[in-house]
Amino acid sequence: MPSPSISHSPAARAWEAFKKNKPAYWSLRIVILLAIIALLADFLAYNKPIVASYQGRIIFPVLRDYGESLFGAKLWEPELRKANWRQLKLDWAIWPPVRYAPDELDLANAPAVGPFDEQIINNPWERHFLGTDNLGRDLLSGLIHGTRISLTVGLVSVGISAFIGILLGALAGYFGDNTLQVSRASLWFGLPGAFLGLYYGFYIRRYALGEALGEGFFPFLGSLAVSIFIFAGVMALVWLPSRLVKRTAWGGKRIYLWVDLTISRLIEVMISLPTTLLIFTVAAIAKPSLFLVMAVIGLTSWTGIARFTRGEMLKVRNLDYIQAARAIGYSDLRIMFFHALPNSLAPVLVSIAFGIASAILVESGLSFLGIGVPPTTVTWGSLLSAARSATGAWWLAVFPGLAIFTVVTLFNLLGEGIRDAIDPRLQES
Amino acid sequence: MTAYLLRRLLFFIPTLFIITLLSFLISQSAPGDPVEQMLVGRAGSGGEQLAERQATLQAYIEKRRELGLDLPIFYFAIVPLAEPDTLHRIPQVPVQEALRRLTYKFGNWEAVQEVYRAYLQLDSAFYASLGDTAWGEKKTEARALLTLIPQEKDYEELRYHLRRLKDMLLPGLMPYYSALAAAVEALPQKAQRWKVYVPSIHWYGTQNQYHRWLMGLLRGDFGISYQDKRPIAQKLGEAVRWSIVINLISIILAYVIAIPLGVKSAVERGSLKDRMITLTLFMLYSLPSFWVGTMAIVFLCGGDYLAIFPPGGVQSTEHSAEWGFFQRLADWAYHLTLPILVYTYGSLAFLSRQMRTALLETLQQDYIRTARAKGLPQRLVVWKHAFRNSLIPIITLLASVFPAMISGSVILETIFSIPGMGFLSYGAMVARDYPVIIAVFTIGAVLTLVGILVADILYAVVDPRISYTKR
Repeated sequence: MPSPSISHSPAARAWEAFKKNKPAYWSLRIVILLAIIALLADFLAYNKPIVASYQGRIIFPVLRDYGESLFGAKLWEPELRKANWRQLKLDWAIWPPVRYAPDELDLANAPAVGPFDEQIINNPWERHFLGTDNLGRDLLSGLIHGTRISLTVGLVSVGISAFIGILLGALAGYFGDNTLQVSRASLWFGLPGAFLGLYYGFYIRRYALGEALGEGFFPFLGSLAVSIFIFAGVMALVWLPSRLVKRTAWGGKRIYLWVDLTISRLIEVMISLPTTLLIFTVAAIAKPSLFLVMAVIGLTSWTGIARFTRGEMLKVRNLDYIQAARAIGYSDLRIMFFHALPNSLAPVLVSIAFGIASAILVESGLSFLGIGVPPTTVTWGSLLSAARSATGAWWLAVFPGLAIFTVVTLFNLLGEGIRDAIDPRLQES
Repeated sequence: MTAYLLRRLLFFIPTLFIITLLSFLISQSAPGDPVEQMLVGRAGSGGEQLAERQATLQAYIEKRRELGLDLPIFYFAIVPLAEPDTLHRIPQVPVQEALRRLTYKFGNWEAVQEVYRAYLQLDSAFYASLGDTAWGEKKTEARALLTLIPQEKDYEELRYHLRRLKDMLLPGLMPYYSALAAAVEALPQKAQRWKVYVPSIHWYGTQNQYHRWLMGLLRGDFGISYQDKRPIAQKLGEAVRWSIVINLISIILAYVIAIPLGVKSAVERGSLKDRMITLTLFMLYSLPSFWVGTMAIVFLCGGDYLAIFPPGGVQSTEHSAEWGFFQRLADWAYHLTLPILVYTYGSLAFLSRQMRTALLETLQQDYIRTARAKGLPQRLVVWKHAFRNSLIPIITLLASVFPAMISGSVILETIFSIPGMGFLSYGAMVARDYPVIIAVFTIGAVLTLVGILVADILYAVVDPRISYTKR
């Protein structure tokens, strides 16, 4: 949120109010700190140095691994990539503070060695500061990298639900049931057009799409583009004759589209689904994948955001400046997205903050149970579940849970702070 | 009211339909062949001899028919003209899939069918010849390849497999092989690609898998568990007792404690007591219950630390029906105290926070000021005038209580090893026992609907302004 020096815009006032709320303001700072930890996880905990001089050469091993994993470049000599860098004879090196990768098994310190127990290590810097889990994986390293996963899950799943929720809520609230008109001809040609478009674009191409997905992200994107192109082409082709029919008396009749009714019914059905159970069910049945977990959480939790946006839109659309925009002749979509929506988003921010908290909670619950998330992925939830098999390992019970608790609390505080800041009713009292 | 309830129930029908459709679709996307999963261990998969093999195949086909898997999936299907309406009759889903792919590629089902028939003839001739001593080493390899061929989805790969097979077969099988190879090679010439681009509808009527599953559901028949082959309804019936007991106690506890706490906190708004309550509730609300549960198990239930509570389960191993009632009760209480505490605190915190917010809003209303102005005592103002009007959000929560019972139980019952619904479904998730997972999901969804209905009725009871008869 931008904060102009002297401004009385609602956003600026809300920001001022938010800053006065100390717990919420501090939560925001800590969340930003956590985001930085998540971004720099590989520089904070990794089993290779950041910079090292090896046999007279200066190498940046962390960056090299980035190059290989992100860009597919071949940067390593095979023997160096596989080498255990902690035992390599280095002239000098700058190490990350934690010298273990999150999924690295330190068999010498397995199963489950505590932070204060005796550890089999070469020098004090190689201590497992928070101990290891039952497979000998470093707990602190897992927690640092787990931050990345938790925040990603929170952001991506809420990103998906915010996109769907805002779009549907805005459409329902702005258009209602008696604003959006189409001619009967467009409707009667458009619906079969959409059906045929889906049939030719996606249905009979489903094997091609599936194969492209197997090949990689970009082939899939290409194949998807072809599908969308076919879909649009077929729709246009079917829709063209409707221009002619529109001239007739029958076809020219304007019909209202029940945008609000349709979307509200959809929301009502979604609310009657047991969301958590649905997420559990899908995660348990499908192949484990972090993206699937995020997608399912996102696709099932948009109703709250949609209802908030709809409610705000209903208020905003009758304001004078919207009427003015209509009078100038702006198109409905332009008014909706550029003029009405920005003024309706404040309550949605509250839902987003709470949504992130609950998405992180659901994901850690899933990985605690070991469903939905691949077993090799180290997450806070999977670290916590290790406490169940390693009895007496208090560090496994305390630290991962503390991490989950902290992040959930931070986002809840953030949500409350935003709500108090934008709700004028509470400000007065 | 009655009219409203009827209307509400009518709205349930499409929602229920969507829920069952969703459950069914999810179960359809489950990997693996259910029939094979059920037959595992009963008959050797693919016997040495022809008779044995035919017996296995027969058992497979019969089981398929028994489960209704030879039926089409839904009431109708929208498919390309090229696709026949009888594909679902072919046993083995991977083979169906491969044949469909070939049909999509060439558009000519008759030609694809010829390939399949030629394959079947080669297959039975092959198994008839297995006793032949001329086979030697190549037998196993040829058999593996022969199983692979009908499942191959890619045309070029299929031709490659066939070329490899040619060198392995005995001369006696060659005529069958040539027929198959000819049929495969003929596919491109017989291609009728246009048939792929014409959509058509197949209408199957009620003879389909979804209908059958739905009718079973309505009779209370959820199918059979893959794990122990027992009826799911029976398994659920045994498990549900513990879930109901624990959740009921915990819900009642939560409401009984949460409501006075929320009221107290709202009435004394801003006081030290209010701030303490609010802070504590906020912390409790953010505490993940599975963390608290794990901590409790590690630190309080034996292990290396304190041993105040038993390490899970609902009763001791020596527990028996011959014990006196109070002894049994004490044993259960000893085991269930900790789980119930962990179950309760989360919803308790949530409920009190909601109660506080709702009451705060009501207390700002004009009629409350009026009530105060006419000199009513505080107790009467709060409990008689304000309380009842701030119950709406609390009732709304009741709707989400039932499904939360099941989904929340999945984690907590697993931690405390309580043999309830949640533990059952966790076991099913780990063992990939799909019918059980789907049954639990469907029950959860129906319970949600019931919860919403109950909440609707309670709204009208609490607030006379809400009347469903006339708008």
